[in-house]
Amino acid sequence: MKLTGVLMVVAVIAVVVSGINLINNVALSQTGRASTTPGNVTLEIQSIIDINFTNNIINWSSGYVDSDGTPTECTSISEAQLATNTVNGSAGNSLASNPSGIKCGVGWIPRLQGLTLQSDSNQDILVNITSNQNAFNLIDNGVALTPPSEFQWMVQENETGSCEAGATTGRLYPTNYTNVVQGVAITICNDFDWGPTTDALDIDFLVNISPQATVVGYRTAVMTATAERSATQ
Amino acid sequence: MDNEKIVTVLLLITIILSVLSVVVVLGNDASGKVREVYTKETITGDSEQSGSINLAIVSPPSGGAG
Repeated sequence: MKLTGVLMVVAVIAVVVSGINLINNVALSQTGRASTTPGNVTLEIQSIIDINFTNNIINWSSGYVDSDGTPTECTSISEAQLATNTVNGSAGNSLASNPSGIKCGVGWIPRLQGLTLQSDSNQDILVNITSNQNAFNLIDNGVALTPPSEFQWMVQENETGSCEAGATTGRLYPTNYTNVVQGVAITICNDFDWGPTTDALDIDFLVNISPQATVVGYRTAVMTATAERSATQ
Repeated sequence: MDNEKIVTVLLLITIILSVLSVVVVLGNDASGKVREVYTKETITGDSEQSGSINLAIVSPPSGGAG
């Protein structure tokens, strides 16, 4: 009888403890139950837009227009031509289809590599380029000449696939020598890739110096490339 | 009802309550899963670079650039 009484007390205590435990689990949520508050994770993705001219200067040095008739096309009415890439038939006033290099010029050093722009970004970018000079100011010193001097540029891929092709993407421009407009930004590629072997563009230049150009001295033009996130990611 | 029956009933109640507690715990979402992911983007790097074109025009031996 005495043992039964002890068991009864133990049983009552067990019931009470079990009841409290159950209430605790259901109502107080303190037994490892996940909180209803979301566990937030903040993930920061660093986006890099970084461009670099790996070849940032074209220096033709000093020279003058060759007009002595040697070669025969270099006469008093011909112009000197300085080009970093092949000149097609549409460029130049009188020296169509000349190769790159120097034509009808004495002293200038041939430069066969344009400015090379590389993307070190981690995303596709859009690139604009602006010149602070045009032919009228750079060569002709603000004087109207006949024929006028010319200052032109074109862009091509240094690494194939750098400006992604497509009907509405890429758009490498201009791909033929085109007159440089001073102070006006043009988009040379709106989907400049960033792959290890597809991230370089060449910007080539053509300078035709009029035989009437009388200005002498050091001439320089600064090309500024700016990059922004491409809309065609 | 004698004491032995009362003890037996109490032990049964205890077992039932314990089983219910286990069921409640196992039924709770204890996976700790992430409910939301936030992303943030920053842009760094040099987005502007310059290059230059240089040449000089000198007078030819006969005088004048042309």
